[in-house]
Amino acid sequence: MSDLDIDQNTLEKLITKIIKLEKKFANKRGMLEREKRSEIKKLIEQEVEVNAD
Amino acid sequence: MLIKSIELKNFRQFKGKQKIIFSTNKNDNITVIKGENGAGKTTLLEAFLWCLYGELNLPNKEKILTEDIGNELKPNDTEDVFVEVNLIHHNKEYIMRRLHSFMKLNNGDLDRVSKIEKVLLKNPDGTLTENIDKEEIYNILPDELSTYFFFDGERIENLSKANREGKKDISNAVKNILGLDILLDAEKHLKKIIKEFEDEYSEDNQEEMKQLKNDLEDLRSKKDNFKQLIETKTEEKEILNFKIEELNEKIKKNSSAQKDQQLREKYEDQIYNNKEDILSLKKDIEKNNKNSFPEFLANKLIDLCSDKINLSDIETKGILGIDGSAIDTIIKRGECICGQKVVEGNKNYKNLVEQKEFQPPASLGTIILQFNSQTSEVKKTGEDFFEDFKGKYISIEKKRDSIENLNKEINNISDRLKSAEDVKSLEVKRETKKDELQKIQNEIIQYTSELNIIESTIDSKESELDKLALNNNKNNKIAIRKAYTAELRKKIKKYYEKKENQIRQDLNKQVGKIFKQLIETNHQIKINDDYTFEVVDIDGNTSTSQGQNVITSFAFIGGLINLAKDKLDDIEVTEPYPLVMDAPFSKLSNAHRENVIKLLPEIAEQFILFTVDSQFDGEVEKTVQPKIGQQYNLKMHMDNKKYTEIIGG
Repeated sequence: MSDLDIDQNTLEKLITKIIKLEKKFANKRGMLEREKRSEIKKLIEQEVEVNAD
Repeated sequence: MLIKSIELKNFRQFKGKQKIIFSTNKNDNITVIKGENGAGKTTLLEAFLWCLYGELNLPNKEKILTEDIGNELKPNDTEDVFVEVNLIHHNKEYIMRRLHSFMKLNNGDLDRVSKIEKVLLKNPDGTLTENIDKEEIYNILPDELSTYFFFDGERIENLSKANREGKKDISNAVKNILGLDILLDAEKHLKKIIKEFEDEYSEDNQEEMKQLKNDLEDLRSKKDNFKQLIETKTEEKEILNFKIEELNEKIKKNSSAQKDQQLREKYEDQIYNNKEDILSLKKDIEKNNKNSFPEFLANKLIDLCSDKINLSDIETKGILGIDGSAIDTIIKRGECICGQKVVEGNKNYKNLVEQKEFQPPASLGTIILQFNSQTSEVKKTGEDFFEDFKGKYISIEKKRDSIENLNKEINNISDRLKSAEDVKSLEVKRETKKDELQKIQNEIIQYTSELNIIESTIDSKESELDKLALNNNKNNKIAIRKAYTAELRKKIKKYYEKKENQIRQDLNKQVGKIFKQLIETNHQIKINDDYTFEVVDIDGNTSTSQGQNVITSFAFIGGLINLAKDKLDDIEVTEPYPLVMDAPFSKLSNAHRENVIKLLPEIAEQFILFTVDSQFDGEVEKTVQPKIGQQYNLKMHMDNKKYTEIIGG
C-alpha cells in the first residue's frame, strides 16, 4: 500500500475517536463485540470518506 | 468512589439488621474492624463484592441466610437476606442493594424465591431516584478493577511471589487500572475490521484475487495455529522456569544439609580412626605388660626398701664387696693386704674391728647397697614401663572423650538432616527440568521463525491483493479504508507499547519510593520487564525474606494507586478509591506493621482495615490512632445460637 497516501491528521483524529469509543464500550457490559466493531467501522468509513472526498 | 456504609440483614453469620458506617473524612480516613478468627471479617469483605457484583467467594456459597434464622423458619415461611452498600461517586450518593428471599419448603430445604438488585440515586433532598441502570455500578467500580481495591491477606502475599499467578495479577492490574486494556481492545477490534474490509472486496471474476484471498485464509489460519503453539510453549516455559526456580531455592536451602552430610561422614571417619587407635594402644599396653610388668612390681618393692633404709648413711661407711669374714681372715693372718702389720690392740687392728661393724653380716646396709646397685636396671625398666603405660592410658582416655563428643555432634546433625531433602536428587530433577526447558526454548525459536515467514508472506499477499483492489473502481474505496484501518492498528499497537513501557517505568519509581518508606534495611525493589519483583540487597543479591516479600506487595499496591492518581491524559480513569484489606499484617513484623499502617491511609483516600486484635493492638494502634475515624468489633456469640454482632461506630 506504499502508493497510497495516508493522511496523518485523519489518522490522529481517528485514534482519539476510537479510544473514546472503546472507553464507552468498557462501560457497556452487555454490548456485543460485533456491535462494537460495527461502530468503529462506521467511524472509519465516515472519516476516510471525508478524506477521500 | 468512597464507601459510606454497609448494611447487612441475615447475611451468613450477621444475624438481623446490622450496619457499619465508614469514615469518609480526609483527615481520619481509617475504619478499623477488629475480630478474632472466625468472627466474620472475610465474610464482611465478601459481602461488598456480593452486593456489588453478585459474586460470593466463600465456602458453602449457597448458604447465604443466617443458619439460625433458616432453622427457625416453618414451612412456607419466608425470610430476606440483603446487603446494601452506600457509595459516594463524583459527589453523588448511590445505594446498591442486593436482596434474596428464601422460603422454607415442607422437606425442610430452603428455596430462593426471589432476588432483587437495585441501584438507587440519593438526591440532595434525601429522596431516592429509582430505576438507575444497574450497569451504573460497573461504571463506578468495574468488577475487574475491584480486585485491586479489595485485598485479602493471601492475595497480598501472592502478589509478591515471582510466579505466574503474581506476575499475571500485576500485569492485569497495570492494564486494567491504568486503562491499557482499552488500547488492547481497540487493536483487537481493528484487526477484525481489516478482515471484514477484505471480505468486502468484489472479486469480479478476477481469479487472481480469488486465489490470493484463499491463500490469505490458509496463511492466517496457519498463523493462528503457530501463535497458539508459541503461547502454549511460552506458558510451559514459564511453568518450567518457576519449577527450576523452586528447585534452586530448595537446593540452596538444603545446601547446608549437604555440608552437614559431609561433616557427618568426616566425624564418622574420625570415630573409626579413634577406635582403631584405642585398639592399637591397648595392644601395646598388653605387650608391655608381658615384657616389663614384673620389673614394674619389683621397682615398687625396691622403692619401698629404699624408703625404709637410710642408704646415705650406709653408703659412706661400708665397703662394697667385703663381708665380716674377710676382715676376720686379715686379723688372723696378722697382715693386711696392703702389707701393714695387724696385731691385737694396735691401730690397724682397732680400725679393722671397727670396719667389721659396717660390713655384712654385722651390717645389712652394704648388702642393701649392693642390691640397690644391682637392681637399678630393673628399676629403670619398671619406671619406663610406668611412663609408657601412663602416656598410652591418657591417649586412650582422650580418644574416648573425642568419640563421645563426635557422637553428640553426629546426633545433632542427624536431627537437622531429618527435615532436609536429598540435594543430589534435587539436582538431578533440576537438570531434567533444564533439559526440558532447553527443548521448549528451541521449539519456540523454531515456531517463531516459521511464524515470521508466514507473517511476511501474509503482508506481501495482502499488499498484492490491495493493489489489485485499487485497480478496480468498485474496490478502491474499500482498499483505502482497509489501508487506514491497518495503519490505525499499527499506530495503536505502537502507542500501547510506548504507554506500557512508560507505565512500567513510572510504576518502578513509585513502588521503589514506597518500598524505601516501608523497609528499614538497605534493600531495594526491582520490577522486571515481565512484572516480576525482586528485592535486592546492597550487593545486588536477591533477598528471600518472607517479610520483605510481603512488603513488596504493599509497595506495589501503594505504587499502583499513586500511579492511577496521576492523570495519564487520554486513556486515564481517575477517581478516589477505597483500599479495603482483610488481615494484611499476618506475615509482617511489628515494625513493618507500623510502617504499612502509617503509609497506606496516606496513599488511599479511604482505608478500611479488617484485623485481629493481636496484630493491631499496641504500637500499631497508637501509630494511627489520630487517623482512625471509625472503629468496630465483631463479637462472636458462641452460645446455642452462633452469630456475630457488630459493636461500635
